[in-house]
Amino acid sequence: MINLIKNEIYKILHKKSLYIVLLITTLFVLLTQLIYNSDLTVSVYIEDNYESEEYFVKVMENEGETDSEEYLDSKIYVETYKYADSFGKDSWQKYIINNHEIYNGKVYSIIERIVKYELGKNKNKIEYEEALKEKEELTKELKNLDWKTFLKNDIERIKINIKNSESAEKYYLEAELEVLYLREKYNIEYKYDEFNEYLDNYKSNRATLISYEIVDEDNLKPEQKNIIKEAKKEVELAKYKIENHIEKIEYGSNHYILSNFYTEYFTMIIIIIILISGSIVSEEFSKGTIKLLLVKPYTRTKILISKYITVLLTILFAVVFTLIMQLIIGGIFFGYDTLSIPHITYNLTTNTIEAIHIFKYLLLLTITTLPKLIIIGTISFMISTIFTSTSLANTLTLIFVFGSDVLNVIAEGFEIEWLKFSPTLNWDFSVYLFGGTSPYKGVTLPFSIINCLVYFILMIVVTIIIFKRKNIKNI
Amino acid sequence: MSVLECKNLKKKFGKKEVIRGVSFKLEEGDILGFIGPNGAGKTTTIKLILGLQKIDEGTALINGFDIKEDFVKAIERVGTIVENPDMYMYLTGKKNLLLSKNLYKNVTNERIDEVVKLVGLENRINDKVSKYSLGMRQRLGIAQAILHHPNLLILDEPTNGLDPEGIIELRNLLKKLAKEEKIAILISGHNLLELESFCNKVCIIKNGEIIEESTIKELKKNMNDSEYKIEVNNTKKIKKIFKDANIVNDNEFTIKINKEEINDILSKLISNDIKIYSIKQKNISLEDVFIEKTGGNIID
Repeated sequence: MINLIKNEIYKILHKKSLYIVLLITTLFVLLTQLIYNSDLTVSVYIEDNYESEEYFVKVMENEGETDSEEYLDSKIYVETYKYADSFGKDSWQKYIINNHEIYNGKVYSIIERIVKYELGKNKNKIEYEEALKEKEELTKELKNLDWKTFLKNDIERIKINIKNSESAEKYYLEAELEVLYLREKYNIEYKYDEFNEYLDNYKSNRATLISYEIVDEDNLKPEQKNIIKEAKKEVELAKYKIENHIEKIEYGSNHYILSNFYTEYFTMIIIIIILISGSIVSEEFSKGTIKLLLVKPYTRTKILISKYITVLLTILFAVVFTLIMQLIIGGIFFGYDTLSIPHITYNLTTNTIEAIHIFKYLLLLTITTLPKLIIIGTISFMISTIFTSTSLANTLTLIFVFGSDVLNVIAEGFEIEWLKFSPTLNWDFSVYLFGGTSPYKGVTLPFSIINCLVYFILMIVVTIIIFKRKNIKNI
Repeated sequence: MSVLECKNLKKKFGKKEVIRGVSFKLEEGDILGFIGPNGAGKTTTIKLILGLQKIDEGTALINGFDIKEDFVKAIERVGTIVENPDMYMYLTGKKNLLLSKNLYKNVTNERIDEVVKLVGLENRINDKVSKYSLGMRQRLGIAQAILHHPNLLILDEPTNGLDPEGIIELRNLLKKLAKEEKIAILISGHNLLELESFCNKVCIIKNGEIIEESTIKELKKNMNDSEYKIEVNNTKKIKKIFKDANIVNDNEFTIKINKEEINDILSKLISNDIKIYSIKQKNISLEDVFIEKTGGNIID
């Protein structure tokens, strides 16, 4: 039987169409890197925003339309930014002025008065001079402080605020205080970086959690429970990343694309699989070469199973080929530095953080995605054998693959429970990773395993029986 | 033990009975011509023997093994071309043979070179099959069929696409194989004259039934009764003298006789006072026999 499999592989390797599809796959990987490489990154958002506002201000000034509200708003924004920038491009003061609620408001009101006077909208010179004076004092204050002292003062301020505040805004202040303590403990400077992002994330989600603490758990609606679950997850993730000093995975990085490998390349992998599985039997029929094979001293079952094993090997090959292409081309574009950053996930069952190597994560993803790939490959293999038509196998399988998304949306949206018996609701096992659950009603891990096994065995048995009984008609 | 023995093979396509009880035997060293017009059931019979189609009734034994029960053992020593010599067109001739080789035990690479030489494809064996002519594919098909030293060779219309020279080569090759390697050969076709020189046995099939099974010698012996055309001055009395004579016109009649009887005929004519102008033998070929036997084959 090994010789039969060897022959099948030999035949596939001599097909032109395989190489054309592999070339297209490579181009597709290349295109994906180009898309990720283009200016879609979020980290320079604030500079971008400033540039566009500044451009707007210039255009308005050139056209002499300086009376409008929009112009005033943009002008204040630009001046505020310029003021913040005067402390240094990466200074902590810049971050404070743009983000700290009190200082942001303070600077805004000063700049607003100055700008309004300079534009002639407000003629009160005393107010203007007061504003200039306030600005000078503020500059002096910020320049003489270092960020750690600023932080200490801020902590004291919040503590007092909590004492005086009403319960409605208390939880927000409490979350803020926690963040400040974290900042102090892990020495996180005010700055535009991932750690400040983590802190922001922590703050907003922690505030949500604290606000729900007063509500009795039994009175929560399912949506609210989900919100709490999600907020808990975000808080834990942010905390873990801060505590362990985990660098951010940039959107355009090898790590990011690898962690979304099957989302990016699923269609391409499916096309390679269908190319082989949809033709491996039917093409022998249409070319008449099946007769060569069937008069060799092997039973039909063995011949068919060898072909099926070849299909399974093709599935592995399609995954590995695409993966290697991503590693090579992704490496050329983005380098390999990000691969050493662990992949952080949150286990929804144990409520703990799991940090694993990206390759281990990819392996887990592959193992849990394989059932889906195998079932799709088996479907096209079955159609190809039963109807001995390559085009029918390819078309029906593609319709099935794309139709499955629609079916799943219907099953989830309309909560049609009997649809849980469809393999399309069960074949993606990656949802069960890290304590996850299926989004569909009544679908659990054991149910999915049995469901997929039943379909798999059924398809194989039907295919073998039909192939064994086939009369080789005149061609 | 016969190399191939078919017992009462029957096959239906839907309600139509296409093979209606075909039986024949093939012994070591035999070359059997399996002859019949288009649609008579030649290819279907071959497919039944090879297990390519399900046998409804009857058995086919190859080297004593039932093709239905013991497929692998039965087919092990069979080489064949069914219908067309379909090969993997995108591979070279050599690679096609390698693929076949992989599926048999005890076939060496030297054997491949040997069969390539045997069918005379040495110069083109490394070309892709898609560049071959039908005749070359036919040769490659034969090479592939004899690769594993079969003792039964089943060739379905192997002369298709061969030029006269190719047919002569094929004939010599098959004769050599039958004689030296004691292979039994079943060869189908619809051209009796072409196969006459190949075969020592003939089976004529018509409408899914075997209507004649004999050796070429016997067939030819039957043909010794030839028809003679005799020109005389008057044919009026002829019908009274020879009851089975055929009157063509006032001066001519035909009669089927053995050549030993010519003298008798002539003396009878003379004794009846009939003048004899000429006597001619009308030739009857194997082809005539074939058409006579298979005439009126209805393809249904």
